[in-house]
Amino acid sequence: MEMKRMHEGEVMKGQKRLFDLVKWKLIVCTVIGLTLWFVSGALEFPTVFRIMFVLYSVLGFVVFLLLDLPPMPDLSGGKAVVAILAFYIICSAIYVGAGSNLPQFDPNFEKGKIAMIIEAKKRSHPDVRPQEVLKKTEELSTKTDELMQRVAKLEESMTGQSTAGEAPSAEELAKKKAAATAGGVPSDPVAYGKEVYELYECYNCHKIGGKGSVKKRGPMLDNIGNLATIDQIKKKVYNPKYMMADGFEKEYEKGLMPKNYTELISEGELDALATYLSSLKNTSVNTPKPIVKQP
Amino acid sequence: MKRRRLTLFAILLGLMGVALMAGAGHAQVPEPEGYSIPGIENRGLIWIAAQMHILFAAFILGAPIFVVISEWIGMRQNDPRYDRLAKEVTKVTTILYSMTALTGGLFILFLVGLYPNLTSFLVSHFFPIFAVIYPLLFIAETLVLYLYWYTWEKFSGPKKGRHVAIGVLLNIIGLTTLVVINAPTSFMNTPPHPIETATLWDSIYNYSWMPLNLHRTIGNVTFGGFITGLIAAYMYMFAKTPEEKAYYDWMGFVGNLIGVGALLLLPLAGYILAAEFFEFDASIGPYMMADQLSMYFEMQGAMVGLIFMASNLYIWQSMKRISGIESMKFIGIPSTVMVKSGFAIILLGNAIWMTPHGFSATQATATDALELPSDWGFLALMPSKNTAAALIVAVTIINYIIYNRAIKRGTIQWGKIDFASQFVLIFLAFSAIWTMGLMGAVRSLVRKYFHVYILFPDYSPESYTPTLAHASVMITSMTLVFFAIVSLAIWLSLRMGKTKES
Repeated sequence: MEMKRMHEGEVMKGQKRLFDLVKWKLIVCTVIGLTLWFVSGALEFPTVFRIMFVLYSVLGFVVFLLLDLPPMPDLSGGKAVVAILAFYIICSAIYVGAGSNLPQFDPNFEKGKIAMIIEAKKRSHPDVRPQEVLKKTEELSTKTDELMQRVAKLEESMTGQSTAGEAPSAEELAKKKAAATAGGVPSDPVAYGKEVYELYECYNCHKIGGKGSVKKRGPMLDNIGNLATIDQIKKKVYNPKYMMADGFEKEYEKGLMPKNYTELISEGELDALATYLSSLKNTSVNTPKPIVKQP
Repeated sequence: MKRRRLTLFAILLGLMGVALMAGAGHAQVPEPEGYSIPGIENRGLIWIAAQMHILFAAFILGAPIFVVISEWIGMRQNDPRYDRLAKEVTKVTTILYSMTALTGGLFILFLVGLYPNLTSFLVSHFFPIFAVIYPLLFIAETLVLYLYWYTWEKFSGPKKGRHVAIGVLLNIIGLTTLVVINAPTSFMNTPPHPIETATLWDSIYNYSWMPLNLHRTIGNVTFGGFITGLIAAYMYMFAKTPEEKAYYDWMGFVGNLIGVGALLLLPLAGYILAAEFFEFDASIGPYMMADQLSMYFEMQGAMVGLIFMASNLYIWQSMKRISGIESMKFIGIPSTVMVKSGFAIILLGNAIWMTPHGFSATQATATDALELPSDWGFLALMPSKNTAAALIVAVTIINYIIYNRAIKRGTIQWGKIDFASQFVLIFLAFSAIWTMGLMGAVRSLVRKYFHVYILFPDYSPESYTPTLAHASVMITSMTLVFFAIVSLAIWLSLRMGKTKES
């Protein structure tokens, strides 16, 4: 009985110690968390940042609690093994949870981008093999047709019967040709140009319609159509040193605009991109004036 | 007769056309290339094989660096603990060496089977490396590692210097192997331009080769240090005698010291590597820091902050086992207050490091509503991040200085450390390796839909950038498998060995 009372006393003492340990830390961290929440709100931080600030104060509470916790009793044997396994599971759950709860992009959008790239490559390279094959097929088919016609004529002259109908007509050949060149540049170059803009992730440095580049590495392009010609835009993409946006001297000198678009963007894609950009004529947006730096 | 010949000729021509079409059609069939295994993407398989191989390789290349230093210190100071540490880590290394070879073989098999064109391109481009230099180095590394291990007893006492010399040779071969194999790895990220006129040396000495060598060497030492901490933690937890506890407590401290010491240099090495990527192609910078990989870096910020926090917590726990320093002061402030204040600074530094410019996983969906207010945009810029990193590093160094003063004034009670500290050591190893996996994924993903950036495209449907959620599951799974194998290796080599000895 005495032992039980002593044990209960120990437990109560332990609980009181733990409460004392937690009390002030909890009060301080709550005050810090609330201050951060309201001050950041007054400073117009978006909610997501305000939540992050509060989480920092929670982390602070955990860290300072860990610093003052009484020593952990030693574990051994099976208990230690279970503790280690549980610890790994907790760590894994935290890391997977954190990784999954940070903002994610849509993987299907990413997959779609790859499909777009393949499609763009197929239709923008005039020298790619599928078209070579189609061209050769067409040539061979024409030669075969000529020979068949000659055979038919020869037969006709020998027997007096016409076999011309067996050879494909000019109309059929035209259809074949049309089929062979199918898959070319889409009919709407502006829409295609927008696709190219997104495909090569120009939004990483530029903004159109308020979307993209939070870091403002490059100028907003909403009104570029009024400030640069299609040719100038094309030249700028292939040679970033050709023009400089007014006010972007530092970025221009640093060479922030990638110079490898000659290798990445085909001429067909460039045409479409320049057509799209030249269609942007929103005068309400202050797109900086491009200055030609190289002839 | 003439007609029949002409008909025959026409048919032959037609058949040739069909054959040509079929042949040309076959020759130009686009990707996917190689085999594919149902249920798992080729890229996923390669990811698993490559990461598992790199994890084992990092340990077997990193551990010998401090093993030989430890042995040398033991020889100079005549302290048997250092020699024992070196020997025990080498014992685990020899077991994991076979795992490195096994996963390396698996990686090559997957590469050949799943990506034959790429493998053929890389092997032919770096033929002297893949066919001669790398195999020779691997054989030499194997021989010298076993020589190092099996001559431990023979070259003891006055002959210890010879053994240390073998260890140094092992490290020279190991580092050379690392530097050599980094050539094709870095080439895939930053190939020379134009490739047609590039010599083999141009391909080796590409933009990111040296930064990668630096980053991986430091990373491997960090990795080795924290794994040593892990070994010590396991052994401490299952130690039967106070002497054993005292020794493994000491070993854990040394492992953590090595890990943290090298970790202090890692942010700088990582920064140099990223800067070289950016210098090579300016579009890589935004892709990493603002676009699809930005949240990977957010996670990295959190991980690095936690690792620094945990290593300083370990120092705090280590100080608690030093008696006679209760009234110790550092620049007039009680040392306990000083260390605790340091944690507040680390928290602040970590908060700045982790604050992104915007909370969007891709700039395609970035809007003003998700970004920092313009007056506070500086928090997301490099000067702020560098200041934050410097603060965290400075506090860690100061804490070690305080610890160093404490051990001079008081008495360390080895084996009396808080048991919770062993979980801190496990946490450090687990988190460091997890972060390594994360950053390895980033280094590979900056190539986007290219196997070799700009040069060798990967137009397979699976060459998209995976989300952080997907990557977290992959990295956690691989880290767990790695830990399961390492734990088994530690158990077999140290615990089982001990049982046999006793």
